[in-house]
Amino acid sequence: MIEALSLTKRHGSRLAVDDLTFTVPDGTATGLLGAAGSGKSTVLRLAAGLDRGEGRVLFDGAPLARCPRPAAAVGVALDAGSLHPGRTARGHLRVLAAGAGVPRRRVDEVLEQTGLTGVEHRRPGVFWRGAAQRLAVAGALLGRPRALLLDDPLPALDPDGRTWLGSLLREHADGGGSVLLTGSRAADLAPMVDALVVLRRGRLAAQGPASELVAGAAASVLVRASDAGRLTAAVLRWGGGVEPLPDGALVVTGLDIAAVGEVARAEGVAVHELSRREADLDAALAAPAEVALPASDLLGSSAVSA
Amino acid sequence: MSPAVALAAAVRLEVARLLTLRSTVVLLAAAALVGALGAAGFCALGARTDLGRSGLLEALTAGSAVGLSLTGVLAAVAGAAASASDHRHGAARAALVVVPRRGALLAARAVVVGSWSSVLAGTSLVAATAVVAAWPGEPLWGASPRLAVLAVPLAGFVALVALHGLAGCALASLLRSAPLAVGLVVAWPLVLEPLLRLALPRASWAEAVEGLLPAAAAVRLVALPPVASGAAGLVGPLAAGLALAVVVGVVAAGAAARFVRRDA
Repeated sequence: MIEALSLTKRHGSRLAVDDLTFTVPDGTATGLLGAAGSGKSTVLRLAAGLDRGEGRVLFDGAPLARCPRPAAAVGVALDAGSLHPGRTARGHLRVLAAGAGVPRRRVDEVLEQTGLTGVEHRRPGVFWRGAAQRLAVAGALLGRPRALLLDDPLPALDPDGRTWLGSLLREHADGGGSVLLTGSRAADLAPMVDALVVLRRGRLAAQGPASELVAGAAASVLVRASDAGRLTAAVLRWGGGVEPLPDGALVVTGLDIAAVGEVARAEGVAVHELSRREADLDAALAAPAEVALPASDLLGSSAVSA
Repeated sequence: MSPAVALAAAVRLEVARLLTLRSTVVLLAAAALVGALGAAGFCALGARTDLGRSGLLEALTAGSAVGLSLTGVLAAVAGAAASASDHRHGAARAALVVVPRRGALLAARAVVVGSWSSVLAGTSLVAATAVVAAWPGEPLWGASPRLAVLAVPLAGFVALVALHGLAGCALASLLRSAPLAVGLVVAWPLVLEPLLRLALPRASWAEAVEGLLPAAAAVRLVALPPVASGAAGLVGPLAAGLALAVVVGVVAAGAAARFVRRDA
């Protein structure tokens, strides 16, 4: 089990991670979702003891430095592109295996497991990004860890690679392990995980079962009306939420498309556009910070293992 | 993970790093080449002119007692490259993930860089000895003291190269630049220390300080014993080695403090 407790990280006066608490229970995979700069990688670096910050991350109740065999407790895949240009894939794994105290034959096993046997004697200069990512995952698997931390592994992988990684992580979780991986696209991340922790500028914006969060975030309606202010007031009276867009349109949450139409008609506001918004968590994450995140309404109502 | 277990793991990791790079073999070959070429140069010079009693020592150490130690510079390059890979290729992060104890990683780095630099020094010595032994006429043997007398400065040479390796490693970690670190190691005896000497006042205490400056101490460390302890103001090899070790230790402490405090 991975427990992140009150994680906080400052870069000068800027809060990169702000009092973040979440849990990844055994047997589950959790996605840490957020736009670029939201603090996802920082959370993983804090968990791995690479960054100095406040709060604690416990792996089966102990911080990484206190684990008798760290590589058996946690496997970490960060910086897939950060490889020494003079060292082969096998050499890279041999170094990690030496530090982790695992036998050399384990290197062969993870090379096989990650489909890298064909490139094991190549150097990173001739790697494609997917191979570098697979190598990072191979390094994380060396110690047969209980917990896996993977930083943004998906963009580097092709569809086959994503399918492979999804199966690998599912198998790991089904075997009783816990998985925490980061990503910036809910559409990519949600199918691979059981739960999502959504970060917005270092703060917890939402957390809960992945399917619920994605579905909840998608339930919004885009409306352009002759009097946006009047319609906003009416929607709020009807219990909906409103997110004004810079171009004057409104994104309404909590009411379906028919209800929004009815509210507008009752208020006598002319509607110029009314459509179900396919916006999802990704769009919400990409929105400016001062605009309310629709998914934040879910925080608390559908939170799990907070 | 106990400190002892962490240190053992970190040493294994550092050794594996060395053994999985081609540049390791290149550096060994370069050390042998420097030793051989240096010895050949002094042998050729010795055949034409009398190099005195220190000629053999200069040949074996590739001229380390007359100024810049080329083998030492090679060790500094190796040490600086080890530190540079920490921030250029994420080596420190990869190491911290499997050995999450910064103190153990630092100690292991110092042990392995020091040992590896000593291996480079030994390789250079072996190559130089082979050249001197094979040189026609053996011009340097006659005036040289016995090998037992040479043992101390030769041990000093190995220590000097090891300190160069550690200095390169610590400076590169502190400055976050391998070229800058190696440049400083090279520029110190050639430019910076001579300038510093000019700035010192003419006083007895200044003479003592002058003898303990890094480049001066390096020369004394590899000098033949009577030269090192003969005149006032000159220090012996032990004091010179300690002075040099203190300077390297201060730089290493700065680098260690930075590594321990900063994000990896």
